Amino acid sequence: MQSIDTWYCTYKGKLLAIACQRGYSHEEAKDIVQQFFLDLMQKETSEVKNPEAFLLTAFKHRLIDLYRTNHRPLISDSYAIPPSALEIIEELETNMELVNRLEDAYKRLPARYRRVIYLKYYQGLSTEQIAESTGFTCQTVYNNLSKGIRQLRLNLENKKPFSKLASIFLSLFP
Amino acid sequence: MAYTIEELIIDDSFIAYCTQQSERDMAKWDDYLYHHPEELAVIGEARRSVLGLKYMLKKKQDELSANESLSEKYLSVADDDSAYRTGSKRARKKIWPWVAAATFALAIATTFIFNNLQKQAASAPFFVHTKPAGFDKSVTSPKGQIKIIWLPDSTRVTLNAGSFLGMDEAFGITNRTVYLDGEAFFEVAHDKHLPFIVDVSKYKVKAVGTKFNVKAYKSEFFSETALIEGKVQILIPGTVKDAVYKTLEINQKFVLKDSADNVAIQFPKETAIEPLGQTDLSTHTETAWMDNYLIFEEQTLEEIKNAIERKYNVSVTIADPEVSRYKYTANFRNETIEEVLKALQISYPFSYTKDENNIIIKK
Repeated sequence: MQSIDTWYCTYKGKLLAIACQRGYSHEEAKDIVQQFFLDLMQKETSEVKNPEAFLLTAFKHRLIDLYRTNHRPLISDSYAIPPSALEIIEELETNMELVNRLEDAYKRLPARYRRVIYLKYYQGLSTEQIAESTGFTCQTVYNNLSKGIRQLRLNLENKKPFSKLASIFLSLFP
Repeated sequence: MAYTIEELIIDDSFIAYCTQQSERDMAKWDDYLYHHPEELAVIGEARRSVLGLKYMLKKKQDELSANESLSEKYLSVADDDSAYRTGSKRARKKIWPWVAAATFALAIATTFIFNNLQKQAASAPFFVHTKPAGFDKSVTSPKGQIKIIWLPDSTRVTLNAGSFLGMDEAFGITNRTVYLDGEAFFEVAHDKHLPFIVDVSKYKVKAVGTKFNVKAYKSEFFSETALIEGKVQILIPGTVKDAVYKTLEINQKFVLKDSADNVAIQFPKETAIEPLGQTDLSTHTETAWMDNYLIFEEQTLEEIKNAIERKYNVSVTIADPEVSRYKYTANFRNETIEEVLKALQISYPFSYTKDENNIIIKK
């Protein structure tokens, strides 16, 4: 099956990483992934619509089976299986609060950061293309992106840094 | 060497991996995970961030563009802001008069450049219609699989099985033209200055922020464009400039019944504007494929054959020309290929043999 080949090329690393996360060594994990794809070739997969989600679920079941038969590394549920791209998009579509928080964090960025982020993630320009269209050097664009993303993630973590600052000031000058 | 999360988020190849635009980048980052399995959580978090940012910007920009009274630059940052790019806060005070002057000059310059760009963008893609032989970027969905992809401009495309979508390097910069052989549902990101164009070689569909479905498999004579939301125009390629042939209203579709291959369309003989088909599923027949439905209305077995081949990744041969003209109306979703064939047999009998993925249909 041609599609299994492609799946192997695109998802083997992720599955291996999941196995490692569950306590298998790198070598053991390689074998498990190999065997998993070999077994998959025997199965009917022509109706799989979303390969990533399908593979993640099937692989999770495989790990549970292995645990049951061999009593090998304990599967802790504290490690969640990372969501597939489709699941991330579905989450964004249903969770408006998440999107609004992201927007809020974005709007609080300085203009120079917002500009490069907008060009990259909305208009889809590469770093070189942004450099070309803005006249900055590639290094400047890269630095602005890097700092912008770091700031954005900070903004997301502490929702209102200014209110915190304000409270500090208030406590200093009662 | 492992990447930090910020390095990943802004890496162009990593973004292509997140948006599933390029198989090469997908394989590259999967390989990275293969060698650095301990980075799983970081990769996952970075991917969430990239998709989240893209989604948020598209959604908010769409809302803004829909509301004309608000400034379109609300989310993006106007060129004027670039004057602030260097210098600390202290320095900024001193250079304020210069900034004002520079801003003014910049504003004039950008207007000028922008107008020029616009002119280029408006004329360049229209002069030559011959499709480039190779594409800088392309996505193919194999038979039996539907793909969701995000284009660089934040347009979301759902690509039906067995379809091809190509674009050139300048996509998102001087043009937003994609070439389609197959079927796809487009949710186009707003950009008034750069219209989104789907080129299916016999005609083009021009849109500015809209949802629509285009079905145009080169292997079939029949093609249609269905509008779900917004506004699209059907353009006929001309020698100098494309002509607007029809503007579609919501819930209308443009249908082309193409009798011969490789011949220019006989407008308007073979075209029609029709209302969209309603299913009892509260969606349209035209877009039901995205929910895995297979809907046939008075269609010949010849047409059904193509759809089945794509959905089930099988090869179907109809050995008898008479059988290929049988007409069926049917509705499938989770049925296997055998169940589909058996159901069709009941309404108008034929016989078939199935050998692995090859199906031969006889009288």
